[in-house]
Amino acid sequence: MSGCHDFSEDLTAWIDGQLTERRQNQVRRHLAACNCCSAQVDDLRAAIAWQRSALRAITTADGVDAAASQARLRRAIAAEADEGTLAWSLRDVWASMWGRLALAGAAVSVAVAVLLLAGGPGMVLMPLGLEPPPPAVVQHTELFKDYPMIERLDVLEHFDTVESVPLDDEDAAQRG
Amino acid sequence: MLAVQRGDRSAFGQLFEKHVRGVVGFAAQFVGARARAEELAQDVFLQIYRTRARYVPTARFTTWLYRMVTNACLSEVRRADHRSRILPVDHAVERDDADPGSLPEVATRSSEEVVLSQESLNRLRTELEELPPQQRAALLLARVEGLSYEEVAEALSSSVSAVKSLVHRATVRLRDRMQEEHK
Repeated sequence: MSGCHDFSEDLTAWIDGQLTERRQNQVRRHLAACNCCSAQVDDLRAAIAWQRSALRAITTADGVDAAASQARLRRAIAAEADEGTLAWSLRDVWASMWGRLALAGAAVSVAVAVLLLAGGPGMVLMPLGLEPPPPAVVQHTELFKDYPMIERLDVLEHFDTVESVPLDDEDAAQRG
Repeated sequence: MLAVQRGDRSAFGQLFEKHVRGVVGFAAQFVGARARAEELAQDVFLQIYRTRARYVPTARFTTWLYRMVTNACLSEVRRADHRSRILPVDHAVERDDADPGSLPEVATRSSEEVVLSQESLNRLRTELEELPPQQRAALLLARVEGLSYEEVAEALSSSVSAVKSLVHRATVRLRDRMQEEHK
């Protein structure tokens, strides 16, 4: 026969009637033969009855003004509906194939316009190979031969600064 | 809820009216302050309205509702700044302001007459707050909302066997703590 330990975790569920029928019967048979677990069940049953009433008492929210809360909720829903009008119309456009093409075209146009405004035509043309690289790259191609991905980017506009970085003590000692 | 899905706003109003107090009462056990619990309840109902199209009537509406409420409450508890926003005296203020006649000194909800002193209710509140959030949620859903273990498991995105353990441990712990009080 199984020991009390095998049933202790199931006693609350047994009182609540939440075990499977098979397990419910197993626990019932054990309780019929075990005074210790039967006493435990009586104790738990009383505790559960008290807890049920007490928990309901402390979670009662009588002070809630349901009408005022509902009015606030309606305002929130209405505000969201107003904001949502534009979002929904855009969603409808997106749903159609032509709408998707139009939106994708518009997105590309905006991206190109932003690049042109931010860095001039070079920002767009240089990565495409249609703009000459900066003079620093032309004069020191040996420095950039291993970095094909960056040789045409304008990150090299600070090349002079990088070139003239003062050596720290360790580097100077090594070179000296 | 099916009427709400069809766009019936009055049906949504009825759902709100029916459940808002329960949701606020439940949430208050996690967020402490009643005002914050009401805000949270409002957020949950707004979320229900937004996601009404996704509701599938395979489960009771109450289970679906409390799944959202529980998620919101547990998220709130997990927030690092949660403690700083709790007003520990909130319950006491509400109790002091309330009409003493409305307080449930004696409740006879079960067949047995159960005496609930104000002192023991205060103690229970404190002990409930000390329970791990998952145990607290499982216990409240089972005892107060009357959800089956299966429904609690669904609300907590957990298993029935885990819920069985959560409810049992919470029940025993509260019982032991409340008995210690009387010693």
